Amino acid sequence: MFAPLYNFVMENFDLVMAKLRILSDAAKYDVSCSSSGTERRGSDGHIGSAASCGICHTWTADGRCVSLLKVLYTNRCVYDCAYCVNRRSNDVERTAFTPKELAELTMEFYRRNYIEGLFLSSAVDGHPDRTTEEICEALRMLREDFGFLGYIHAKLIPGADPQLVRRIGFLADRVSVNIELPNRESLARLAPQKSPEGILRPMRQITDGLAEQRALVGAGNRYSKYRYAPNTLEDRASAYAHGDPKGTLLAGVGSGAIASGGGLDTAAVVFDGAAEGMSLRQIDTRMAVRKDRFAPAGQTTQLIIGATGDTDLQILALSHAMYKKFLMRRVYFSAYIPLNDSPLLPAIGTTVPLLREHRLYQADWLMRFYGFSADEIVDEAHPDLDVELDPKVSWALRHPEFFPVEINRADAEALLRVPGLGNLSVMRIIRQRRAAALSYDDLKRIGAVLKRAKYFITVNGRYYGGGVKQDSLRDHLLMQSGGVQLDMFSPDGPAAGRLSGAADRLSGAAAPGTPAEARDGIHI
Amino acid sequence: MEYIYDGTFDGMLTCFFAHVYVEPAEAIIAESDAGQLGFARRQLIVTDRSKADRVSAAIEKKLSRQSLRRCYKAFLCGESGREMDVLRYVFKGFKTGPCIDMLHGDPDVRRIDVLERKVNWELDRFLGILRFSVVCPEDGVEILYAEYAPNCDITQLMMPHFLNRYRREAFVIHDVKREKAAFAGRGRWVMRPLPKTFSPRFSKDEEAYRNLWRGYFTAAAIKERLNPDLQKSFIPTRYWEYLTESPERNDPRP
Ligand code: SF4
Repeated sequence: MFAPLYNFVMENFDLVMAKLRILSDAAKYDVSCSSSGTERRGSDGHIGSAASCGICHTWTADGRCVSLLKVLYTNRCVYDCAYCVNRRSNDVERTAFTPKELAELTMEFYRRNYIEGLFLSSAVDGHPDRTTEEICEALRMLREDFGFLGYIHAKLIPGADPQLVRRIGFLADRVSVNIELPNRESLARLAPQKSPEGILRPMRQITDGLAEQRALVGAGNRYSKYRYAPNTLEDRASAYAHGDPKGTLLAGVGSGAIASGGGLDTAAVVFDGAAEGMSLRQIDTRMAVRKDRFAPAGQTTQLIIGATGDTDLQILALSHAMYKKFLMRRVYFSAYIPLNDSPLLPAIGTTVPLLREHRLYQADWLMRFYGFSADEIVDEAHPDLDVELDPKVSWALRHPEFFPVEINRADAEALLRVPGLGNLSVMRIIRQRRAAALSYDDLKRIGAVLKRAKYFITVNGRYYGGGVKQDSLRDHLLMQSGGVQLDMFSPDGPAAGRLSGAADRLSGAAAPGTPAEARDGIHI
Repeated sequence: MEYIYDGTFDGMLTCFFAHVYVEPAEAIIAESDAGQLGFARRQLIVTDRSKADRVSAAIEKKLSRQSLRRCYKAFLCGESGREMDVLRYVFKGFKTGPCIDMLHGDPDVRRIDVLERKVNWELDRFLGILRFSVVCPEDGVEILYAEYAPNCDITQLMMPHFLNRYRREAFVIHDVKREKAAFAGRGRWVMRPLPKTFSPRFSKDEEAYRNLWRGYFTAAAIKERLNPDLQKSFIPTRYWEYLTESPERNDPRP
């Protein structure tokens, strides 16, 4: 029905194939590949929708989920960051997409249900503004000329012009700027051309842009009170008023109509009167017009772990601040893999701190969904996480006064602190005990990990932990899991498993985005 | 009594009706699965929409709308014997009322849980791994066409997702195993029989895009960590046949 308007890719097939190979190879180690965080219904005249839960479209031969087309816009770089493969002084094959090629490629992949959307980062080819402008044009084409409504995550280049950042914010679902290094000194040492201001300014700008439309959902668990209200139609209408300078982003809000701009109208006309014959459900486009929303899936950032001597306390405190100050959706950690010879960095061949990265994700998870604060997890006396035990168990062992928790009476917040109980099992406990008090066996069926939980609970007043003494509990728990206890919530289903990336990685079930031998395409 | 029905959801519900008003059911079997053997007494139940509606209204009222949905999903799983599983769940629900779904410990409820999860799992998986091709029935016309062979009968469950995804395009989802296809366009769709031998005319660029995708797919894997078993655990080999990037498939068609 809809004939393609362009044919850029086919005209240069071999060239595009080569670019795709180089630029996806350079981007593949990125961590934040989930496509979740925004729900958008398709709208007439557009193609695409973004489901709120990430959809995996395939699994590569290493077992990782592919959800987005993850590429660099270019790997030509004028900078020389010590930790990056794409740095100027490295000898690698260089290339760059053109906006047309990238937009058409993404669209055609999307139509075939290969991908959920695009994850675009880039090196810095010339001035940051120059590359950002091209990225902006690629995204504009995709949204406006092709009417693409799929998911877009764009990495911003530090130091890019605020106007451009704003435009990208209106085109992408999620934007991110990487902090990379936890403090100024390491940044100055390892990435001398980047300034902290260049990183923090766009971050602040995005947060403000989001705050303007009250679209922020900060960290918190399902019981916490300090979540921001989801944005409403009115908010979005007001966000319009601050639309992009060219005004091309303004869509026909309220009419539930086709967003205008660029070649899209033509396409809509081709599909004569799309509204005709639509059911009510489909005409309902409340969620549909996307262009009026500034980065609806929020903002994320990424930190390198192990390239510098920072402690977990420093890292968690920083990520805590990121959640609080910038209302990040996620802070990603990426274990540093040495690949450049540099006196400033761990030598090539140094063990990659994957386990530490995993523990940090677990700690992060506790802060976001279990109501823990950073200083409960690590403090001056214990500045680093216990690599042998997950941080929830560590906390429980340090706070014997809190336990045991009575399953049939304790409130949700308290239940969430029990090792071996996840959000899902807690929800089930609360739901089921309304009907009848739970027995120990019921817990098993509910999906609680009893071999851990039993030492921290009572069920109807009875303790099932047997004769294990408080002071030998640590050894006992460790022994159970064969030395290193990896995962906190396994039976709670794939969501938990997937989010604690490194757990999967270590057990072989690699999670989205395994940082492996290289850390290239650093604006990820 | 062993009831034989036409294999539709309404047919199964009509059997439930007979279970109450005629004689308790010992088995409910779809016509296509009913062999000649069997010592039990058998009766063919003709699907009766009004009876089926009464049963479904009762499920919705006494259990919940959610429970009715679960019955439907469990039914779609296609496992033999599921009809009696649903029956036990429904009649237990008539006794317990809406709280039935909180009884996670009850074996009949768990069974429905298991069946429903099976359907949901396959549904989720195919929302991602269903591959569309651009086909051109005539020059200048493009339609998206996908073929697959799911274990569960999930085509209709996938439609809301893809209708939403392809607002502007006409598309066809072909269940090769059940020889039927959903034809969709302009927000509407219909299910029609379509033989497994059906072979469309692909657009001239189709193979080129498949190659680009295969190229990306190969480049995205981290060579040092190859783990085909893990990959297989996510996409079992039975799904490979229709997967563009499948390690085995080298589509000879254009
Ligand atoms: S981190 Fe970014 S700016 Fe630095 S060298 Fe790599 S690609 Fe260039």
